[in-house]
Amino acid sequence: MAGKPRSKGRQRVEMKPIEENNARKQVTFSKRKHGLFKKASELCVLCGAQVVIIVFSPANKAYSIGIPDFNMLVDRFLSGAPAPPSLGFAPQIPTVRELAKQLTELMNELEVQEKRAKQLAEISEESEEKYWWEKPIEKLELSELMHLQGLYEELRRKVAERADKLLISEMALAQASMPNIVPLPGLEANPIVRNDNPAPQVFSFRFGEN
Amino acid sequence: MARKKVKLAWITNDAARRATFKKRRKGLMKKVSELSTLCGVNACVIVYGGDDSPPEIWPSQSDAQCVLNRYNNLPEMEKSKNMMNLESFLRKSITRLKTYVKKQQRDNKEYERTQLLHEAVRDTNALQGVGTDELSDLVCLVEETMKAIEERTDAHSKKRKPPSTKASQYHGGAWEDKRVKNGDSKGNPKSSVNAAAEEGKVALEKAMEDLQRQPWFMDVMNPTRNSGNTGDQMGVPYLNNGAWANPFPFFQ
Repeated sequence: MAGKPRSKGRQRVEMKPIEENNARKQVTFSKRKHGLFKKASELCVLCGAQVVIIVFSPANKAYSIGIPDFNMLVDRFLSGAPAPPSLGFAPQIPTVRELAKQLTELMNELEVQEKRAKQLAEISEESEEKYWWEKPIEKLELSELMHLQGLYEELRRKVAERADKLLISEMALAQASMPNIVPLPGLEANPIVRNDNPAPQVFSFRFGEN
Repeated sequence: MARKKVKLAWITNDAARRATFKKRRKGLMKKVSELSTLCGVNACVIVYGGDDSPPEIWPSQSDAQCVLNRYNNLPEMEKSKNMMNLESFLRKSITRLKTYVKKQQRDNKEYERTQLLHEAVRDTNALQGVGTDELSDLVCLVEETMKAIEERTDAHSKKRKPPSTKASQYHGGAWEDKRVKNGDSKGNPKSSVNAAAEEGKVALEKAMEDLQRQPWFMDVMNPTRNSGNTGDQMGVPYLNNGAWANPFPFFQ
């Protein structure tokens, strides 16, 4: 499994209009708009602020958000009047609290997964250095590839063997709790009578040695 | 700046909340300014503190008013299409995050699968505690990997006889390869021509085989097959006609 190419991470972007590249402009707009709304929502939930944002896209589409209520806040802005008491307090609205909680949990989960990813990447980097055959196959020479193929052939055989053994012993275990069933050939059981009477039989099996 | 994980809930401590409010409000204004500059768009932000104090406005009271006017002049459909509130935005964020988390989980699973493979290669006893499901999955992985190696090996051996645009280059390449393969230490072309003659014949056959494997070769050989070549002109882009008649001209 090839490791993910390490991206450059956060870059300093120059604060001037993006001219040459329309695609980049649109992508930047999308990302930053989302980020802007996110910061606004955090401001409202954390501090009980009330926010209105209007943004026009490069394609002249309008995007807006108003917390807790767009129209009421716009009216308040235009009229210069003090805060109407009916406006509501965003952080205390039950749905908001529930959603915010979900979001927090997801962020924690993501952090856990990302930490694990980092750990795994480090482990594989270390072992790639130690063991050449663990490198992604793209990086291997022809002779190494052929050697590796042989190794895997061997491994497949061994794993299949072990899987079979395991399967047999699992089935034997299952049979031990089902006395009405005749054991499979290959399991050395004491001879039993195929029974019509429901009395439980005692079997002894020898499981395949591991 | 100290990075601390902040739970997304109202800050109960008054002082902390006020400080956070000031900082984040400032940050918000900076972000909208950057968005506006980078993308060359109109925008405005109005922030009330949850009390009766006057709002903070970006870009300015009058400019914000202009943006608001532009917005109000839009048809209702345009306005409501992309209007959000806190709940809808949170829901959208949750959906996004779920996708990231799932993807990351999937990637990690792949990594761990590969880890198991590596451990098994190093020492099969590592498979002690492994259950039947994982084992059969491992077999699949081994087979997948073996297939990939096979493909890779094929690609490599194709590379050894590269299709070349000049006849001489091609001959040189195949020729060199054959000699290297047979461990011929003589670098001198003249003296080894005779011994090479025999080798060359084998090389010729092998080369022909390899040639046939290249898709462009077949088109060249069958110009009638939709390859865009007409009449006498073979239109051979890769080998010229003379060389084609006798691919190894130094065997006269």
